[in-house]
Amino acid sequence: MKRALRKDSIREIRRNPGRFISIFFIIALGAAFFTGIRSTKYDMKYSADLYYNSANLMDIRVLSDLGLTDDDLEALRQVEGVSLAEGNYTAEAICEQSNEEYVVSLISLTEDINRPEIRQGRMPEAEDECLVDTLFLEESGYKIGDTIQFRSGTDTSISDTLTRDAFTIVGTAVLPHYMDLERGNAGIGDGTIDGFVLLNRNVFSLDVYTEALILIDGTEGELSYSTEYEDQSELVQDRIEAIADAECQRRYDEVYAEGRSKLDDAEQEIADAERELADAEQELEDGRQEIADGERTIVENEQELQDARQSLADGEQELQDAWQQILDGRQQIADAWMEVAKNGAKLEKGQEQIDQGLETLKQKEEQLSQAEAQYEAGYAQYQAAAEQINAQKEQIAQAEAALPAMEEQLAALKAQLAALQEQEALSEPETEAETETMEEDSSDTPAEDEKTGEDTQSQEEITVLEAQIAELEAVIAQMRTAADMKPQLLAAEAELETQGGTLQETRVTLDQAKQQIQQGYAELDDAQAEVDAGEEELEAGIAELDSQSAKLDEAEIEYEDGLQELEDARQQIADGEQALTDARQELTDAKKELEDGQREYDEKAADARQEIADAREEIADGEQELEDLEVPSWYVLGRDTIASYVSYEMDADRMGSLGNVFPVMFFLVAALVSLTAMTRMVEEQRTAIGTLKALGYGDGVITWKYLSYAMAAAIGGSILGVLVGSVLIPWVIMNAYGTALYRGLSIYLMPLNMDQAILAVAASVCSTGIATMAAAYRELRSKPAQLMRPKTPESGKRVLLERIPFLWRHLNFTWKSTIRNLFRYKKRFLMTVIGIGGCMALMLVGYGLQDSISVVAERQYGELFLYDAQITIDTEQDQEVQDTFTEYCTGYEGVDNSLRVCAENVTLICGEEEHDAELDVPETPSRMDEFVTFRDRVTRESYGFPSEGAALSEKTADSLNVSAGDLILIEFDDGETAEVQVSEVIENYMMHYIYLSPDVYGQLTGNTPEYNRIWVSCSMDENQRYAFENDMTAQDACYSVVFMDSMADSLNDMLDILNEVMYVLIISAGLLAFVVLYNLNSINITERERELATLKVLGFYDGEVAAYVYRENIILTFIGIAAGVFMGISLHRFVILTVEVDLMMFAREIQPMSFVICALWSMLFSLIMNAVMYIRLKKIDMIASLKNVE
Amino acid sequence: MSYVELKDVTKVYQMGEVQIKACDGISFQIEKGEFAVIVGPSGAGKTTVLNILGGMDTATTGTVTVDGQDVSTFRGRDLIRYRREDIGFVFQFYNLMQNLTALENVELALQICKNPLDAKEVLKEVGLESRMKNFPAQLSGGEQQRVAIARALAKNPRLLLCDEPTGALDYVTGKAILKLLHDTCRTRNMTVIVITHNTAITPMADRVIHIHSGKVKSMKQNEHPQPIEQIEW
Repeated sequence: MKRALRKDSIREIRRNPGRFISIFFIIALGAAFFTGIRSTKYDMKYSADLYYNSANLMDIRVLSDLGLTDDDLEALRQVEGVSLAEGNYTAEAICEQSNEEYVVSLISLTEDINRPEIRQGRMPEAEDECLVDTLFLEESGYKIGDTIQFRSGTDTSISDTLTRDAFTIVGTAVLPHYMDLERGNAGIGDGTIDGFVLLNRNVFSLDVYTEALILIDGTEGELSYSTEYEDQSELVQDRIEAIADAECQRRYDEVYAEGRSKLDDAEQEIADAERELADAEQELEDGRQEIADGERTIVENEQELQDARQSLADGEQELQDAWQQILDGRQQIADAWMEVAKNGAKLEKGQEQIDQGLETLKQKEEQLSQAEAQYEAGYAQYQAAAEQINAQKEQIAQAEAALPAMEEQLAALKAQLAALQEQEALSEPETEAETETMEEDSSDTPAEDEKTGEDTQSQEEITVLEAQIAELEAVIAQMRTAADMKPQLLAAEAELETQGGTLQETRVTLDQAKQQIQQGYAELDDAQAEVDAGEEELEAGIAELDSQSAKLDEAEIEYEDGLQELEDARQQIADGEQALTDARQELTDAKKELEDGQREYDEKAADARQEIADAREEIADGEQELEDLEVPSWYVLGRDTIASYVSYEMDADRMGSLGNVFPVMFFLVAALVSLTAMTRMVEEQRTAIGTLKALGYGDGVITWKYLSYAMAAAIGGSILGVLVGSVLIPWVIMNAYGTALYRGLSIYLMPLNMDQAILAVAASVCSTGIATMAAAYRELRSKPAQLMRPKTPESGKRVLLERIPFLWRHLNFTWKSTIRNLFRYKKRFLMTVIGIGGCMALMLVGYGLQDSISVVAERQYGELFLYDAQITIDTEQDQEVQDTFTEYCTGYEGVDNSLRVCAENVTLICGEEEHDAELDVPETPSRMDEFVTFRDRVTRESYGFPSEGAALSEKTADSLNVSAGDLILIEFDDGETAEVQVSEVIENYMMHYIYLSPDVYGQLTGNTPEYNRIWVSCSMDENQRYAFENDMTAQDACYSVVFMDSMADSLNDMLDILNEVMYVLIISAGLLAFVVLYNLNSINITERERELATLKVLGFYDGEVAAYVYRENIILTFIGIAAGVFMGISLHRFVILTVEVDLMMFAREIQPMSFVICALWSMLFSLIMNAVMYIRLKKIDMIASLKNVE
Repeated sequence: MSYVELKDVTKVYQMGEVQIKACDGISFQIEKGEFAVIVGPSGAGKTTVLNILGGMDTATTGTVTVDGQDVSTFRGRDLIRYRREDIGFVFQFYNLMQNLTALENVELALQICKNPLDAKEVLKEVGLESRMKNFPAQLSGGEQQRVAIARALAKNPRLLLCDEPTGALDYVTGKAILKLLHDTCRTRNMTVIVITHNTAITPMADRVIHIHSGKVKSMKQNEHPQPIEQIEW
């Protein structure tokens, strides 16, 4: 190239650095993105390979049913291609931190293989030190320096596995085979391993190695994940498998012999232990017997004491009574004495009375005899009187008879008598008065007294009478005189009679009195007798009393004795009680001793018995085991069985598939824009081309000028892009994976992938170069003169809109100009729309992928799978155990709803296509809608469970290329096949499923489904779930418990990284959009500089000029956005299908919000661009641009 | 005071380390309604003067007065407003908006003016009545220049500045354009300033200003300007 021309080229760049830079950067961006994304897959694999190599990640792992021994290892080392075979111990254990239980995998430290990479702290040196999983340390909250305590989590002791159970954490590390966040599944705790702990090899007390780790030769140069590596590895694996059978047989023989002898020993031991136990029990039994005897004796003694106490009480009572009696006796005696005294007095008195009575009686007798005498006198008087009367009567009679004779006598007598009588009458009242007085003195004597008186009087009177007879005669005579005095006689007679009567009475009275006296005597005699008897009695009583008193004295003495006796008895009882207490104390002590003995025995015996039982069980198990012991198998596992190794590869491949589409699209946009820019540039320079051509420069040289410009931009840009992109983008993506998922990955290797780099550079150079050359060629075809003249600007043309005058007329000129312009520069229009649309589409794909990915977990586990947990039943267990477990599980507190499901892995076949899927047969299909939503993804129409045929998950149907109504072949576990019609294709994002009703299943297989899963819906909080999980896993019949939440979480974790990668896409697309817009605007302005200058000269204000340009830009942006939406949707669909992994279906739709966001981004970029352009518009030099003839 | 008056106008361009004096103390006056021609060889500073006068550029020193306004003090928006309202430009290369028709090009200028003339009238005046609806690409150079003149005239400016208006045209067309300009000056009493390197046309001017090397070499007034038809070159 000529010097001048070279100068020109360089100046060309200087003159318009914006254009050069923008082309440069567009190409750089395109190349960076292209190589970056496309290199990521390789870089990821390189980095991993570097890491695997540096950590000596095992190539092969051999597991055996019976563990591995040194012999096995030796055998393995002999295998060709094995460079290192090391035995390794692993175990599962549980540790607790802040009340959380963690399941950890204990792994022995290995030096030459699976080397841990220390992240913090140091390697363990002492046996009680350990290295902990970096991830686990973060999660659990342990710190370096803490002590971590393990337990087995099963019913066996941790000491079976480890020689000690506590370790000090001295550092954290990562392991190459645990590169991601998953640590695998455990058979203990909640079933998920939370982390690993690396321990010194010596602390493991296991007999055999858990696994053999193998490094192989010949892979030094091969990249992990490469086919060469895999071939080499498989070759060695095959060789190992070839020796496996023989080694396994040998191992089996060993184990069997060992087991047999161990069992024998164990049985012997059990026998010994049992004998010991029996002895101890016998001893205890004797002791117990003794105590029982002692207790019985005590009880008897107590009874005796009780009796003694009772008799004591009785004795006391008796004594009390006796004392009372004595007291009473004494009182009685006293009373008796009193009585005796009284009776004595009475007797005295009685005697006195008797004496008195006798006296009285005597007096009375005297009186009586007096009275008798009196009476006798009286009676005699009376007799005399009567005789007198009679005589008188006779006298009277005589007198009367002799009356007349006598009357005279009588009268004479009467006269006498009368005189007598008068006398008498005169004496009589005196007598009478005397009598009366007498009568007053003594009642029994008045008559007598009278009589006596009268007697005396009569006697005197008789004398007198006699004396007076004469007189009487005279009186008789008087009487006679007083003839009528006869009645008086009569009356006297009557009175006499009365007197006689009275006498009679007196007689009676006297008799009576006599009798009375007699009686009184008798009475007195009686009384005397009585008194005598009383006295006698008294005497006897006194004697009695004396004897009583004596007796009482005796009793008192007796009582005193009794008291003494009681005292003695009491003493005896007290003594007895003391003795009893002592005995009891003794017994208590004995009992205590026994109890201690018993406790000791219980403790020891329980342990011993437990031990024995365990041992027995162990023996039984051992026996069973030994019986069941089969020739072990070796499991020869390559790296492709390491979960993180595989998932990492999948992630890398996903990036790879992303790289197949996205960057290409990206690159195309970049190339298109740079190509436009170059074309424009060449076209702009037609005058210069013409000049050069006129000057005689050859086409090649001229072309070279532009080509060199383009090449400078393309090569420079693409190299810069490749250099930056192949480092930055893989770094960002790996860092995203590395910090979030593959924590083990610490070194990111980002070598320049020459093929990608060359591809990017070549593509950039070619696209721009060819475009430049094409443009130059087009120009060069013209004659120099034509070229020298200004290129007739694209002429204005009428546009379709002008044919609608109604609309057109209402537009002002700027609008008219804008609209015409849009159609005038068709190429620019197209480029802009494609450019903006492309960037919009790329951003939309980024956002859309995020949308598609982020909804997967929510859709699958929120909308489609309605159940909360899935419990898998161990079908190896007895049906009974399974049923019990099912009941336990479904009845668990917090479990609201449950459904049993038969899950089986099947292969679906349709024509050439084959696909694995999970076959689910719900026990009650009618309740299926409570657990899984069957619906069409697009129409959202929900389906019922198909009564005929099968429901097939969407992606599976797509892979098999079937739709509803087609027939597919199901190959069951056992190899049987059956044909079934697909009746529904249902929305599903994770895994592949085919659903059959039990009836259809039965028809197809002829079997009844074996329900090995339980889907449960539950309402539990975090802790309850944890408890539930623990309780379930503790059951033999429980194989695993998986909460859908945790599935969703881990899915989200994984997809989040993809999201982060999407940000790379979005940001790159945004950048691209920015540069594209700049470039297009820049072209737009340069192209129309004259026009804009004219406007300025015409006096358009800056704002008006800008508006003139912006209007176009804005319209173009909108059109570009609209185009981008359509491009984005189809690109998104395409990218999704590429990025998707087999097990997963991403959502197919882009959220409306993403459209809005992308449109807003595009508009924002456009606005920023316009702002930048405003400055450029302002700077347009009117003079220069108008003067230049182009 | 004259309608247009330049006094000691200098313009210095700083090109890297080199200072170029495009104008070096230019002074002249033009009266209203005059047809003035500024002549001088290439690079004499004619265009610079015109640009300063037209508000497309500013003088480094000196004053420019147009109709009493001191234009040299104008900057930014004032300058644009001055261009917009007071100046009509005619360029050598017409500078028409390619996507607007002749009429629309005129109207484009009109929509920013205060007292515009009727676009169709003006086009009729410049003899393009029948080509009004044509796009610039469909017009000949002379016709395009007529549209440019029409666009400038229609703004009804105080000054009509023409920078080599015939530079890109053939002899006959050039003459016709000059005649159009002259006629406009006469009929509308428009002050017209034409820049040209062609001294042959000076006889038709009312005032001729010779510029050489950034200075006014001479300024003379033609008492009796010759009609353009009589001038040959």
